[in-house]
Amino acid sequence: MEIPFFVLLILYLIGVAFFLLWSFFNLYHIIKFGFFDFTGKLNTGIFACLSIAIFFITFLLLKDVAWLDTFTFMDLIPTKTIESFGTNIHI
Amino acid sequence: MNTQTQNTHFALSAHRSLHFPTQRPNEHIILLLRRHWIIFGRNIVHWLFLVFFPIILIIAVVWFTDFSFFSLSRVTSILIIEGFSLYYLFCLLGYFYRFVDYHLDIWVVTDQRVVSIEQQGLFNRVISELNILKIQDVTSEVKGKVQTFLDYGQVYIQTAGKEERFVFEEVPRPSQVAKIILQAHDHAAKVDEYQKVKESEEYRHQIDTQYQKMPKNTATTNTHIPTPEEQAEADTHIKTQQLK
Repeated sequence: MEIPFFVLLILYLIGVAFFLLWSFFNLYHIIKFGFFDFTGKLNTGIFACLSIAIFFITFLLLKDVAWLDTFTFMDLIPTKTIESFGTNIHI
Repeated sequence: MNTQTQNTHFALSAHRSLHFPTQRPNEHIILLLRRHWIIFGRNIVHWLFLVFFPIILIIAVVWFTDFSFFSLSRVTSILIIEGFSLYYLFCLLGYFYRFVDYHLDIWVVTDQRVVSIEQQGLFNRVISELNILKIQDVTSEVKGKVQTFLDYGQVYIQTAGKEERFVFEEVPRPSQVAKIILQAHDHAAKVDEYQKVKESEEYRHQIDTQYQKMPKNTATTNTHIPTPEEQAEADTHIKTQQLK
């Protein structure tokens, strides 16, 4: 069974959507109910900067992937592991 | 300037520009308290462990086994990159969530009341308040080695009646906080007494003004006190009327 790579991207984006939703709730709370003072602004800034950095690094590492290519479940098993079992599959 | 006055002065000047939700227009903040920073510091240590644990684990696996990232298939590489990305994003979110929870738990002492705002999770918020004039007793408690060393603890505010005690949890310098609350209470009591006196004086002044404005003959009639002879004559007249 062949699965396109973009399925992995969709799963990742679902995770990102959850992250963005919870981030929105947190930001809303700190701005609406909290004291958006220096400490609040500093921590919100750190959170935003680190989030952007993680997204940027992920983008750099994944930008060359051909998302329309496909893979099988056997591709998930590292080659060496297969060799260690003494089989001839996907060597 | 004695120490107590200095404390109040410091507390007042430090929070002059701040505002809190549900603040009244003529209300001034005397103290604004959060838990001691060490409480949030514990979360940071926990967070740092979560951040560095996968890195240390990978280094250990690469160092002690013959595992190589170059032998991984394309799909495994993508899964690892995405997995790491989501793991660190949610670690960061966990940190921010803890910060918001810490930052939104506040106790405010104003010149009119004591307000406790507690954020329990993201969608639960408890705000309770207490009139500063109802305070009867304030107790500070420092419990254990860590609290003694870092000077933080609990402040209990006892009110009149059977109401529950108001508790400030793990706040820095609890004994000073207790002193400032009592000072604020005394000050509020004096202001309240002064206002009552002022109101009664104003009322008396109003009555006097009204009396002076009244026509003189009405005033004379209304304030005429009968002499004993006149009173006796009036009584006799009433009795005669009753007999008839």
